[in-house]
Amino acid sequence: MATCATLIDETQLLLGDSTLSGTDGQIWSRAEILDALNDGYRALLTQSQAVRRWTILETPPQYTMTGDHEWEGRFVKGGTFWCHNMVTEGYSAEHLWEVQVLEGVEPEASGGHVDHEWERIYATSTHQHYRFALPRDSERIAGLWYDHRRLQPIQVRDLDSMERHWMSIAGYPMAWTPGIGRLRTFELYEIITTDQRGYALVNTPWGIPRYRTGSRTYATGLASGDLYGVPRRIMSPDRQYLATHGVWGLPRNYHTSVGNVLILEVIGPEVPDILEEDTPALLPAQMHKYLRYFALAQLWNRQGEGYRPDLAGLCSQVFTHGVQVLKNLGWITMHDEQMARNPGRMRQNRLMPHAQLPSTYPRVP
Amino acid sequence: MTLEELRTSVLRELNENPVTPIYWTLGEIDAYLEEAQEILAETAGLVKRTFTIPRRPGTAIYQLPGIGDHDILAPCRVWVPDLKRRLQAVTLANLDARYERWMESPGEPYWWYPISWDQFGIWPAGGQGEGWMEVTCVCWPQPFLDAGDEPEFHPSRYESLATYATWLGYLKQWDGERAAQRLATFLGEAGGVRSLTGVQQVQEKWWARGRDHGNMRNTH
Repeated sequence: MATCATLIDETQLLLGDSTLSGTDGQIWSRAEILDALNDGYRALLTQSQAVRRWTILETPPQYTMTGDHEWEGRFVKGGTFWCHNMVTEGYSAEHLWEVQVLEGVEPEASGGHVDHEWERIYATSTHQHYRFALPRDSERIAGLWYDHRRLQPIQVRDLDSMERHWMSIAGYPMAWTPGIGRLRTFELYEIITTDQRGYALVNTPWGIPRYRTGSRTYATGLASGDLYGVPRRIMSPDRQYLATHGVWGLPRNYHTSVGNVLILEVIGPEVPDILEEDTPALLPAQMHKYLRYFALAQLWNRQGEGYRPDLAGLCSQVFTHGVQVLKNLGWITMHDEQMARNPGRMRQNRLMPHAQLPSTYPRVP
Repeated sequence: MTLEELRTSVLRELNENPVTPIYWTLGEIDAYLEEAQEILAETAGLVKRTFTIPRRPGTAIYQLPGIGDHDILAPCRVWVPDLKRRLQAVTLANLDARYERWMESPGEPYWWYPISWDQFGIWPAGGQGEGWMEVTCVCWPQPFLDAGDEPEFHPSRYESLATYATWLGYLKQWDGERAAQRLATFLGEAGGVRSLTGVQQVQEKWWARGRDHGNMRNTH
């Protein structure tokens, strides 16, 4: 699989702008071409929606960090964040009665408050939304299941019209909604407050799990029955173990979809941007040529020396073709559709035939 | 037509010496032709391969790079030899509509469904995991190995590869007018290639004729 350096070299050859491979051109630098490739990578992924990933979010939801003010979110550094407090101009409050006191309203009894969702086991919070956070590269939810049951998306308006405290009603999840929070978060209706984790990392949350224990039987397949070492593949007749964040490397954590939220999500490019030595690995290698076309279109479209909008337009046309190809690959069963055509002269009219009345039929008022 | 002949054709059209070109290397022209192969395969689904894989215990989801290296475009047929059954293609939404807890029900597979460009699933997935599966896929063609190699297409369509290569050649010359003309020609030819890959290559499409040109209402 080619690296970005190869793609830059190929782009420079077509631009005719560099006499020596690996050096900057007279008009376009390699850094500029790399930026254009990164833009193309992002555009191809987001426009095609073809790259999807299974993600399991355990209940109750967890975050990299929770905070009292929205501005604290900028310190998460790429993780997930949720502000649990009621933030108003000048202050942040945990309970509704605090806001009422500060605003000079007669306070009323309000429920508890939690900073982390797992604390709901100990505190009954009625006014706090129960939100899940998606990974940073998540673009869109293509499908969402709870405990292997598909949940349908629903609007907040519909939930608001049903229940006053719909956001904290405990029960069995029936629907999901994008809700009223940040991007890349969503809510469930109804919520699960008990801990549903199937696997727990004991002692430390870092490193590679070397030893597994539980209610099932775990074996290495070796005669010695040695359970130590690094697993490269896990098999079971009862369930499938999938590498959900790529098929490379080592498993660092285990999740189960039983009793938890399973998401098929469309993903965008990883952050930070890819570098010259990197490979746009989320796409098949044969699709990398379309990144080059995107870069060419962007570079030739730049005002100044080398401005060639006609060539840029042609390259954009090929890039659009690539987007369509990748989009089609995302729903691959289209290749296995049955023939839609009916035998000759057997096709039915889409509209019901009009009644044919004789010309002597009396006029209907 | 071999790679060498295609290369010569491209360089002659670009007004270059076909043996010792000055403005292009032979490797560049070969890369153009290979790219043309890829785009024709993507557009027309010309290249098909069948991979045989075991149905593993409890496995419902299969990842394409694990089936056939990195050349697979998309599966187009899943055949279960031991059950003598072709799995029917459905979508995830279709399975959700059939049975709420379809993910948990084991059994013999009857359906397959896409998940993303690089993975698909079968349902039901067998708990026993015995037997095999043949997955026929539309693939990208193999790259050329030497100058005597021939593309894996109909010989009548080899010229399309040269057309694409000259589009890239004119692009490198910044010749917008000729490049546009060659690209349009190639995209038109790709449509013709597509017509050779499906059932239309077998016989006349008599089943496609409807009553568009003379329905009952018009003949009254």
